[in-house]
Amino acid sequence: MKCSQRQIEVWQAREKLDKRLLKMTRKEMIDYLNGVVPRLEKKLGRKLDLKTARLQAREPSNV
Amino acid sequence: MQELRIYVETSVWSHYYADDAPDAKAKTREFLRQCREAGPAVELYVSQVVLDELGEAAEDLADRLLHLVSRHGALLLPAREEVLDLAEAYAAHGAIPRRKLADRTHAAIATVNQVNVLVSWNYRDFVNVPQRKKIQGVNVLLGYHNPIEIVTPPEVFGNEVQSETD
Repeated sequence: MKCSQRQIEVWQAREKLDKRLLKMTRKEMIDYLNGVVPRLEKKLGRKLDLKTARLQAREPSNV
Repeated sequence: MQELRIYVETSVWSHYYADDAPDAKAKTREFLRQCREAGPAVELYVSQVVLDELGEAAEDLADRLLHLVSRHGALLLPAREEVLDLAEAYAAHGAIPRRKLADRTHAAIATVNQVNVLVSWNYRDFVNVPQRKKIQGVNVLLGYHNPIEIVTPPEVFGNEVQSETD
């Protein structure tokens, strides 16, 4: 199946992001994932109207 | 309908404007229309990884894609140590290559946050039987017993595509 240009661009973006993420420490990674997208807001020049989910994360149950 | 918590991976949002993939574009639009129509029965989620990947598109497109995410009320999933542990386990058990940390994070953050469905157009890395089995196997190994369905948009509701102009 032929890939769309958008899918190829997503893969390219992901490879770029992988390189950034792989350099992060665990703390930096947690901070990054819980961040409020300041880098994107700077790029867009406006606030992103997104709320953070309040789900209770699932604890693993090793039974 | 039982509440569905759906993690919408980057490729799905991206295909909303994919003019060179009219079939996937139409199915993506139909999927999001069905999500909107379902109201509170369906909750959409993304992660910082999704937003960053969308943000890498050309400026005008990035703006439209990120607006699309916020227009659909998608919520940003939080992360904590368990997400990193599970992402590491995917690499350690050979489910997702170590170099693909973004892929590992998509799957881990959705699993740890009790999402029911991970929806994606990415057949290569997510939507295929071996990959589903590998991810599910590691999830069970680490004690995440509730299965996360990894599917394409039309599989979520299983209905025919209707035309939508937007």
